[in-house]
Amino acid sequence: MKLLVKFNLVMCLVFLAGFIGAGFISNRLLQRNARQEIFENARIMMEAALAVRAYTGKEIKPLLDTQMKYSFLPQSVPAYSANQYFAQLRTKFPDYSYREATLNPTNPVNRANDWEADVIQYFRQNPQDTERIGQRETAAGPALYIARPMKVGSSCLACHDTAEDAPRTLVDRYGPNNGFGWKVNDIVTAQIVSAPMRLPLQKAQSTFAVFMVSLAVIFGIVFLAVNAMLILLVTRPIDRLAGVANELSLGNLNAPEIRVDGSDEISHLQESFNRMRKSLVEAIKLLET
Amino acid sequence: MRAVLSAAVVCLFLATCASAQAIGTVTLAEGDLHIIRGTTVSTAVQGTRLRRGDILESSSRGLTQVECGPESVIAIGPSSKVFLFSGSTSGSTRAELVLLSGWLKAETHARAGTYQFDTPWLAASASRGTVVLRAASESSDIFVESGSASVAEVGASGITGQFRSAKGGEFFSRRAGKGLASSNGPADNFVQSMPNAFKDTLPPRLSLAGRKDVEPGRGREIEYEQLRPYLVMPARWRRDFVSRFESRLDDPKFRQGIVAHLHDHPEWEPALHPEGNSTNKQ
Repeated sequence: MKLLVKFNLVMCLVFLAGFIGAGFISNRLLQRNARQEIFENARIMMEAALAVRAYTGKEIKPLLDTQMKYSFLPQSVPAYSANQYFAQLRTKFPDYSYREATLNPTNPVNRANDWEADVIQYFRQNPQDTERIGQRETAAGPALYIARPMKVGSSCLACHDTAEDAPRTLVDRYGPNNGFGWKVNDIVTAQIVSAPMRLPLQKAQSTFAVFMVSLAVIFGIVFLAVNAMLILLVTRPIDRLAGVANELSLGNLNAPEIRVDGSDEISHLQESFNRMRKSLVEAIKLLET
Repeated sequence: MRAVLSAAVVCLFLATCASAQAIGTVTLAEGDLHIIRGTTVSTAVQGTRLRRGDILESSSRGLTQVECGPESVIAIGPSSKVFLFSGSTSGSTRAELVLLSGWLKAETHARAGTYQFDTPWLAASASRGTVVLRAASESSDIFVESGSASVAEVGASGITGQFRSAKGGEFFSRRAGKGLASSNGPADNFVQSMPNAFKDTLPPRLSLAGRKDVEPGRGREIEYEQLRPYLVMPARWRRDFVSRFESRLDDPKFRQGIVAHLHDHPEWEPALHPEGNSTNKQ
């Protein structure tokens, strides 16, 4: 078996092992990073929603107080503003969804479903926890979620204490039975941002594919370069040496000297060979005389 | 700095009111705002001081704002007719305004005194509340937007009945031939018809009105058709109109109108036929 073949076999085996190992480690790392990126995005979205709520409560609601006496304006409700903000955000980030799931909401649309109610109950039982990350099964496949509790503040009671004290236009629209009886510092709502599991997987897979293809391309280039260098620097000089040695062994003392290029190990071998050839030729000539 | 400015505005207002018996100042006049002062119809503008007896008529797209002091703001809606029946810079009742038709919103505060707002069927008295009134020939509505007020029925002669207290959120309405009805919250048609500007707090603009009393533009003598709605309003409100507009009888067209509709305002008969004169004065 030729030296080049042996060398290439070993190189391929080593690369394959490295390729598989790098692929395994990088895949795990990329998936983890993709999940982290999604959670970071979700956290930023949640903080932005809270900022929109604060702006609405502090600056918009007072301007609409008089108008609220005549017609209910959802624009004065912080939760509505947060949902509208996120609806706009979804036009650019359609994979994310946002909910302010509430146990006892004014608007039934915001009522917590089973798993959301479980999340809210978790926060009520573990008030020291400020965040919960999880995964759940959905009809469209597994989904990631990040949830944060929302405590009732004193400003909430303007609309959520009793129906008698709430704005009349709000009660006219939603009735006297929903969204009342809240107490300050109670946890009745959770901010929840969800994203499908396929999102981090897709992100990780596309990066992984690019990485592995790059690795393979680099190996291919290295493979070709190493083979070319092997041929030029090792096997061809050795073939020339072998050729001259063969000539000498067949009695052709006029076989030309090997041209020595460079000063590497092959060059030293060539020099040594040339000296040996010279000594051999002289010795044979001496014997013949 | 703000306190000094407010004090300066108050002093300026009191000085101006005292000197010209002004009830208030026009601080916003969108569209054409006609003012009937004496027997003349002219155009009021921002800065015009209003006096007892003035009649304001806003255009169909107009919004007018009148302020009497830094703590009372009165907005008059489009296509509205308001008669400044009485006014005083002293006493418990600062002014009595008659909303003959259209919309009026008033934000009053205790320091500004008590205002009374009459319509053909209901009246409101407010000193620390915001009221919104709608008036038509066959109906009147009053909504106490915030604070407190008093509401009374108005009789055919313009005399108000007994006032009853009303708190923020209460709505009162009365139709021709029917009694007072009240509810918690304004009626849907009231809200739908209300000028949009009335749904917000009225912004004080007295400081923008300027120091000088801006006289209304050049006017013309009032004609019968324009004066007629006021000649047929309840008697208490029009009691001075004969003496006020009697000089217009020199205008043949005006006189003709008075004669043709004398049954609607019979108090004009002595003016038409003064003692000792011919019955067919032409």
